[in-house]
Amino acid sequence: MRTMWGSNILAPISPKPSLILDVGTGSGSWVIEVAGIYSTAQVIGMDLSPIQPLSVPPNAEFQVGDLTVDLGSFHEMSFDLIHSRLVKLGVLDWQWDHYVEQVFHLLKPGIGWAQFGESSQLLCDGEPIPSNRPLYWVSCLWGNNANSDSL
Amino acid sequence: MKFLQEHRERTGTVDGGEHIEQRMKNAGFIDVQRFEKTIYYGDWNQDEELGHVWRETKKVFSGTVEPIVVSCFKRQLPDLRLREKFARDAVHDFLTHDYHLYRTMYLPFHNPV
Repeated sequence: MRTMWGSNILAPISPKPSLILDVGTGSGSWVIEVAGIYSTAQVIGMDLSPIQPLSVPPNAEFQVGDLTVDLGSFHEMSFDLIHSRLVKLGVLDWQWDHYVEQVFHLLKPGIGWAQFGESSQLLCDGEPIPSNRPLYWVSCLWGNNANSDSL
Repeated sequence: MKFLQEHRERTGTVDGGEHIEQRMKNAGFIDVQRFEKTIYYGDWNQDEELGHVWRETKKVFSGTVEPIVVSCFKRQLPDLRLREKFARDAVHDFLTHDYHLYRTMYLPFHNPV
């Protein structure tokens, strides 16, 4: 996130936020970095897998949870920022509307921000990937034939 | 490749980030903004900044593709060692510059009313 966009947070959030949530936190690096920047905030990272480091800043914590069912456990209108990143493999098409609505209701009215980082399918405009190659299969698994853009 | 199509239909996942913008508006977000940036996977791209992004992304991809492949291809490749080799080969393909692989990243955001 920081490498790509130049900052972990692009939304102009309050300089002293109190509560931040990272949905689909993965390695937890985003949570740890943001907790270091915003010492006033409690920064929570949620993911299906408990793969985050145990040694974290005192204002950071990780919770195991499924974003499609567990967001309801948080208080409505309580978050200054909800960050969601690359959750497309875990949120089905019919679940997206409900997910975005839940994020909306968890944010502080008027001052809370949401940012959703996602990516397109994998594409290629060089030599076509042969259909017997593993990457061709993986690109299909992710939703497309990567060569489609070059045909 | 029929099983891949079946997998897509069974899971019903949706790609990209354009769809989120409308969903945000429907949920009540106002003035939704969207940033986009294309990542070129490989040193065939000469842009220094994007080259740095690519090198970082490579680590993420390599660490992500293996467990996904190993879990998704159990039926087609019952032998764990074959699945692991398949995953390694997929990463090798990913690092092949001739394909000129790329992906667009989306970042829509805005605050609620």
